[in-house]
Amino acid sequence: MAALDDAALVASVRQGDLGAFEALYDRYKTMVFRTACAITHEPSAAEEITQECFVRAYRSLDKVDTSTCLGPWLHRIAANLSYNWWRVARRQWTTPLGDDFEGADRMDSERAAFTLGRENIRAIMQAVNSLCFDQRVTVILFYLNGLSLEEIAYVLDCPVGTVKSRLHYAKINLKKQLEQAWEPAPQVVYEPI
Amino acid sequence: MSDKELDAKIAWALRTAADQWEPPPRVWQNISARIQSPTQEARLRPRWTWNPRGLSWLVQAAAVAVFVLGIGLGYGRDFTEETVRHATPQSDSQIIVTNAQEASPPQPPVALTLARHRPPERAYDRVRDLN
Repeated sequence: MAALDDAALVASVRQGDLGAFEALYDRYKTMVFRTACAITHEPSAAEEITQECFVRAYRSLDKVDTSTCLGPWLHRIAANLSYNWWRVARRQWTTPLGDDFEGADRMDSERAAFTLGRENIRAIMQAVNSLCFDQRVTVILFYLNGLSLEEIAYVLDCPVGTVKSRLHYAKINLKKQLEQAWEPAPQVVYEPI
Repeated sequence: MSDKELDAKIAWALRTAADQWEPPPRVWQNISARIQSPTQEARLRPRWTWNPRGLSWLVQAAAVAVFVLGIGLGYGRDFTEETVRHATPQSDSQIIVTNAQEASPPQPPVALTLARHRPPERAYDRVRDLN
């Protein structure tokens, strides 16, 4: 249904209907923005990536295959733009990947009480951010956006086996880091003299 | 921690954190403006901040350029002095030869190229013959 709707909207956009493109934007903006935000970990960069992603999508709508959902295609553009941003940011040392994480801080109290606490979410996000770029993007696309392995392979332009491998090693790294983070503090035992 | 438990925790943490991320309305305003005026370029680069390590390549390139330039100029200067020493007359016979050399057609400037590092052969041969 979504694919048909996408095709109809794309057809309208091709005829010059900007309102149809706004409908496409409303449908996918959150997904693209969250992906970019999770990869870059910087909201201002995510805004620019979202903006550039939809502008490029608008200019390339003539070439897109409307028989499938537009989601993976937009993810592919966003992932490439995020990679370009990250490559420049890494050189300039402006990526604040690390301690401050707004999502965990803004979490409301009800959710904090649910299964995982705020500190646990912070630890998981820090572990995800410490992964290398390829593994981090794979984890985000798989766990956050729920894309299949085939869709991730399309987004990252690599074989499905590579996606499986990246996911496997990312999980090993995450497990190692989280076990260290969640390791109980050693208890001090006082021996009687 | 089992794999299933790890999967569930990662997915839950990512989705919980991402629930707060929404693009502000100005993003669509910018997109709409750029679509309607396609000449406007986007700035998809991190904001520039001072970073000495970011400019290290420039410093290295400048150092290499100065080094190469220094070697080149130093080589040219030694060569020029050597040419002058060869051309300086030491005896009467050499003065004659030097005068004869002055009568020969003018030579191109020798200090500008690395290939012309030998003294003028005609003058050198005549000096050797007279000795």
